[in-house]
Amino acid sequence: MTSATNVIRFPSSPTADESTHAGAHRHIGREFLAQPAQPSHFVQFYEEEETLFEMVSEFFVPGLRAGDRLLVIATQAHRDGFMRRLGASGSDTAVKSGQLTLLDARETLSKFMVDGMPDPDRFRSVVAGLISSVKRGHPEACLRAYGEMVDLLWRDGHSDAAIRLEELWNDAGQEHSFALFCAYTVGNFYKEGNGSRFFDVCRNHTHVIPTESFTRAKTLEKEIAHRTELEEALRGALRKRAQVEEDLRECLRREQDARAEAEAAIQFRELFVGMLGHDLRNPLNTMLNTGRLLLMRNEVVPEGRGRVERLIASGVRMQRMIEQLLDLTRARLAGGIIVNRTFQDADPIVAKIVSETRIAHDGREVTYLRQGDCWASIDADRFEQIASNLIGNAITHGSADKPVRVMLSGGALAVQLSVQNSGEPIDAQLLPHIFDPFARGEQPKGRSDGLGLGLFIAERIAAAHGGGIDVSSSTDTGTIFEATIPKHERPHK
Amino acid sequence: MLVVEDEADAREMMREIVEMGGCTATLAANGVEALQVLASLRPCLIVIDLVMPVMNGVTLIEELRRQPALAQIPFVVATSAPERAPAGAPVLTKPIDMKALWGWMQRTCRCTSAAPLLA
Repeated sequence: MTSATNVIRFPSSPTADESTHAGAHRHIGREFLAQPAQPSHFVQFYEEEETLFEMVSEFFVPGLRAGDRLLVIATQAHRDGFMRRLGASGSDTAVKSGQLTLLDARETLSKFMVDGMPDPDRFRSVVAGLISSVKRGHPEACLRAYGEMVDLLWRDGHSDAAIRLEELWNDAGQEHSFALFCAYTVGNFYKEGNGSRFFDVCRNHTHVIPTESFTRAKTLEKEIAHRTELEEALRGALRKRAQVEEDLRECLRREQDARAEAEAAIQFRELFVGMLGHDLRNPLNTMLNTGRLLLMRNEVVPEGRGRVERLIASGVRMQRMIEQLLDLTRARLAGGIIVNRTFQDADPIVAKIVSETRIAHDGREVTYLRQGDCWASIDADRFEQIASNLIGNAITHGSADKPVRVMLSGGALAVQLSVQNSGEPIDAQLLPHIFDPFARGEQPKGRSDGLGLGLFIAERIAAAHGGGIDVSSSTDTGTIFEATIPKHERPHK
Repeated sequence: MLVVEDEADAREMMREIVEMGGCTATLAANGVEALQVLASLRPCLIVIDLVMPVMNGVTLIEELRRQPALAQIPFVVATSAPERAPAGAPVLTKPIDMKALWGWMQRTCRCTSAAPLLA
């Protein structure tokens, strides 16, 4: 027997779970029909004739291909329907060759019905003759038979005769091997008193193929269950998603709060530094100028002059740091460093810083070369800061025994201040960050005159002039800072 | 010279610098005091701080420009924030550089007593 799970094996309840299988979208029983058990006697209940034609086709087409012998005992209308369905599968040829035998149901019935009931002897005789005829020349071939004489009897109101005929077919199955396909229109069982006999019909078959709507209902039930599961999963996913979204919103709120706090803290800190710078440098200036006045007026005893000079020198260093902090604040908070440009020669500014550097760093060689027309639209104080910071940086980081080379050159569109020193090149990793605030390289021993803001401020001043500063550093060429400032207008002659 | 500066130490320091430059300094702590001084004095130069109580430097400059009798007196704004100075006003940047102040005195002094230290 086949182990088909998409038909209902009888006896069992037609609603048993084994009648369905996961993912069934087709009328159940198709697989069984393609390869029916031998012997088997199964029944199909149908609602629409087209469904019947389709199922019989499912039963016969594989049989035609397998060389099985086929027998149809049906009404003329149904025979026509089957042949229409089987047309493309070579049914005409099969009829001619004798593989397919077509008989009229009512005519066949008449051969063994006696007084409204099938006569067992006549039935056996008719069946034996039929099977012998159909299998002639092919005794070993399987036999697939379709019959609806029982359905005719039932329609005619002879349900007892129909049940009896089913029993006789079962008896015949003891003698002959065949797969017998019976069919009833399910409407038979909606008639009063016939409903209870439905199970008598089922009980007389090895397998039951339910109606298409039963199959659809089961499929629908499964679909509903499946969709309910999906819906629940979807609800779960939506709940999870809502939670994730809420978490995200919370994270965003926290991030925004943190950012606002950080921005407020930065703004406060920079305002604080700015205000502190302003408030600090005025009293410091008073201290420094008072010290200078003491020296100028010779109001200090000779042995005290050195101490006052030390006070002034330390005050000057402090003043420079405060100025750098103020510039940092301006550059980062107040929209950048402001420059008040006038058209002037940059040469005296650079020459002055070079001169001051030579005096302040006796023993260090500082060369200065000027080339071309160096007039440009510059803020003298700020340009002086660029020169001072770059040259001071070269003094601090360059080899003490090698010169610092300063060159100012004027081109058609810009003036360029180049400051070169020898010595250890700047670390390649530090180079891209050399103009960041507080980005200090390795500090030489000794006191520092700044906070690590000199290059940052110089670069910001150059940028405020519409220019910039480039840097290159290698063992061979040393470290070179090149500040380029656009001229903006031609000198008046 | 008239020095208008609210911070007493800075004011005193300025007085000494002015005197070291060979001139006399009259001091005022704010704009109102300065105007009171100017009612009876015509200094060669007024050095004006910007941020002061009672009357700040900007208002004082407006008053100077508004009164014809005062409009001709040279003045310079002493400030650490030059960008806050009124348009067209000359600026002496704080921290005060003594030589820069003496330079202003030398350029504006009518009695030529200024400048012996600048030589």
